[in-house]
Amino acid sequence: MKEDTVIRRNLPLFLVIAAIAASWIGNGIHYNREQLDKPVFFQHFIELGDYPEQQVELNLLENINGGKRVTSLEFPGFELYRVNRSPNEQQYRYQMNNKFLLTIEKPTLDILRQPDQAIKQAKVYYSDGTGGEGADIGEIRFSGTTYTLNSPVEHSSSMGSSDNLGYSVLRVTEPVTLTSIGSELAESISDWLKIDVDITMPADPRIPQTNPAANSNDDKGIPWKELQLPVELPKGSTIKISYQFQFNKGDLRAEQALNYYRILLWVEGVEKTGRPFNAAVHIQYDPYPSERDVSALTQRARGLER
Amino acid sequence: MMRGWKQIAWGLLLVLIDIRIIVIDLLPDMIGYLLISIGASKLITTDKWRTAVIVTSLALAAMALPGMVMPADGEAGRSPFGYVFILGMVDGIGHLVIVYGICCLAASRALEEDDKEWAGAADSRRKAFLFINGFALLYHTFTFNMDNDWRLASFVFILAAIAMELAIIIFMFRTAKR
Repeated sequence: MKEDTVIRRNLPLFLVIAAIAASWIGNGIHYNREQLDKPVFFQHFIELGDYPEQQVELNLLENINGGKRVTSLEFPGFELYRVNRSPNEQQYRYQMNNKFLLTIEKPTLDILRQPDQAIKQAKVYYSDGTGGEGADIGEIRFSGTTYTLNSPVEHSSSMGSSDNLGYSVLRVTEPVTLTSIGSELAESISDWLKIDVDITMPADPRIPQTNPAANSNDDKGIPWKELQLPVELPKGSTIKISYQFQFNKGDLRAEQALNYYRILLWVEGVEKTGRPFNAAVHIQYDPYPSERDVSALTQRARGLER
Repeated sequence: MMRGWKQIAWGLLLVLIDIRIIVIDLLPDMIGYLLISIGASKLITTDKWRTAVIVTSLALAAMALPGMVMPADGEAGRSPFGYVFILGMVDGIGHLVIVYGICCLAASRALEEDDKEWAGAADSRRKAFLFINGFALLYHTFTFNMDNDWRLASFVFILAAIAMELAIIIFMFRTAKR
């Protein structure tokens, strides 16, 4: 058989092999670019209440196939806490969103009560025996306020949705003077967190007010910063606190949209007897990263490593 | 000569069938590839593919040794440059070359015997195998970067590739009987 006939007959085979080899190398390079060198923690900004055994979820991204896995976490300077891997995981194309559950015991909470104390870093140990370096996890700190027992302002109802909006309705059971509504963390992200307060007083304090949340979802409140305080509230009043996280400004989205937030918004005041009281409204934000977000986080982490 | 084609057919069948108990392969590919190389060495033909088939089969037989005791998957196998995947890809490409070569040999032998119809049948199988199994192998290289939904489509390609492999094996048995 002539040489050119042999080449012509076998050309399809060479082309197929070349295409397979090129695709293998190309896909392999792309795959490697999407792998994390080591797990990456999301940033968590959490205000803790004044009671032990509080559990905090720490979220991180780990490669699905291979690479380092986090085996344990330590928080130097803080005593007595428990860390367990949580089974919940969200799977992406190349990474998994895994969770560690941090249980904060009383000694750690006592340390966090001191001024300027916060858990900002975790000492991370990996499955390959390496580790010991610090990883930023955000800021977990004590909210600074202690719950009042038998508060005259009680929780009536609440709602939160995956759209990262929700509300809490507080019911006033005794006449009170509302003096402040606030949270340091909420103030620090006021550009993205919209909080409205809608106070409803009964025409006749003897007639209990119906739950405003049950009636409608209309946003009739005013921004919490514009609320004129102090304000006297008769028995039967309701305080509806609505919140909404708005990290999108037009087509742009703030980097903070990928953080986790647990806010304790304190509603404080005094009773007629002069006894101060407070009640907390829990505001929560969980990011729901898209494939593109996870890819961007991976690229950023890889960039920082090199 | 007839025995050579039969050995090739049995060799391909042994490579296709994979029976494992835990990690031990009871029908190692090595035996299959050795049978193919022995079978090809018995063919009387001037076609250069005969040498290529023998050499590639021996190379794949040697490469199949670690596969006898190594798990087919695992962490290293899920990376595109992990040793399991590299061995798998080299095996896949080598297998493509062997079957392509065997079909060429069948066509050449038929032409030498002036049987144009059989040569045409061998050529059409060669092209079909290259298209289907080559495409399945090409698709496999994309699976690392695919969603799970797309990975399910791999089964379609695997089934098509197995069907094509069986068609080639039957053709080899028929060639032996011819």
